[in-house]
Amino acid sequence: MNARHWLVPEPSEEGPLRAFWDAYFPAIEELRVEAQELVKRHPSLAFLADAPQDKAEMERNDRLQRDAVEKGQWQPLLDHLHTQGRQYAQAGLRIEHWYELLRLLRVVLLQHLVRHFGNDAAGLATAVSGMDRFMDINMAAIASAYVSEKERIIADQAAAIRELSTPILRLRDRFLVVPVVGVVDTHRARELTESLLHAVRRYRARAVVVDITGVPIVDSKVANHLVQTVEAVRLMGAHVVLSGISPDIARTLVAIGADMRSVITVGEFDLAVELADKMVQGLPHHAPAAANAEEGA
Amino acid sequence: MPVPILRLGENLVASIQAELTDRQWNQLQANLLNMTTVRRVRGAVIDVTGMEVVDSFVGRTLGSTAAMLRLRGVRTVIAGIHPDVAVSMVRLGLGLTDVQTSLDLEDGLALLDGDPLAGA
Repeated sequence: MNARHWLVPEPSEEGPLRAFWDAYFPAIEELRVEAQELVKRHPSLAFLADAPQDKAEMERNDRLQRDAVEKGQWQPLLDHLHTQGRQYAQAGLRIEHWYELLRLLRVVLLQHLVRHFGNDAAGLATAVSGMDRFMDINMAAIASAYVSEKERIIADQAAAIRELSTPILRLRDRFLVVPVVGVVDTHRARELTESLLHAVRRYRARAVVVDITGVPIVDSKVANHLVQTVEAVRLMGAHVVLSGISPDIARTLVAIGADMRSVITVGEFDLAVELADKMVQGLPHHAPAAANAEEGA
Repeated sequence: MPVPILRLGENLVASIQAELTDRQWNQLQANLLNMTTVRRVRGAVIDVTGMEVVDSFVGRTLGSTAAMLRLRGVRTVIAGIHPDVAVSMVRLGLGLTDVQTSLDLEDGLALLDGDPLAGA
């Protein structure tokens, strides 16, 4: 990455940062002890105080911060913070703990700066703005890494859900059941349709119940996929009943105007099985009229 | 060579074994309709097991043939649509929603003979 990192401060900010640093760094050990006292007494951060201190890690951190402020070498520090943020995300540490921790540190630092500058109000103001900038850079670097790591974890999980294969079960002779679980996207819908159609042929299916209780999101795209699957199965001569459209999903589908008229739908799986049984036995049943146009032909 | 149309009792059977030209489709449609004028015909099965491709012309022709035969009082079943063909037909918007379908010729004839288990 050659482009300047978005968190590297402007030249105009270097003065205040330096002013803060020069007041902070000589007292870093005492201030750290002071901050740790606050952490220990904090109702939700006490667990951090119990964690073993890694001396080498702390020194490395100090050195990187020093190189950043004193020599303008921010990239190593930002990289380090990025790694830290990712580790916190992986460890399941909550980001609000970090904000709280930095807030405590700010309290300690502010008291120190006030003591340090005494009557020099202008010097104090400059150092405080430097401190704010310093804290913000640290926090932003950690938070952005934390969030991107969480997003990566979510994306991995979504991919895992997407890759769940859909089993096609034979409930009875020539009667198939397809429980669809997880997110249905174009790719998966295509695979599902393909394997279902071949199963219809292999098992000589006369009835198929597709249950979407396990599908979390049904938008117009997914609805369209399902309609196409159902129509393709019907072209092969099997009856299809779709079940598991929850009240919420039903509301969404109607609100977005998804056209499901060519599909016979039933709320619950057991009722869908009953209906499919009746359909293949030619018994009277209650189902949407449009969906059954072919019955009366 | 035109597609042979067999008579089985009161049903007609047209089994398509290869891809047909548009002209052959029109001829098949005419022949099926004409056969309903000669003797009593109550049902027809168009068996498309041999077809691996269905374009929009063929899809529409299947639908319109069934609609015409219905006007002659003949119930029509399209039998043996291949899985891949089913997918492409749906993509083309050729759902044949008012035509009956069955898995194969055997089921198609059973459906016409009143076996409700045999098709959709």
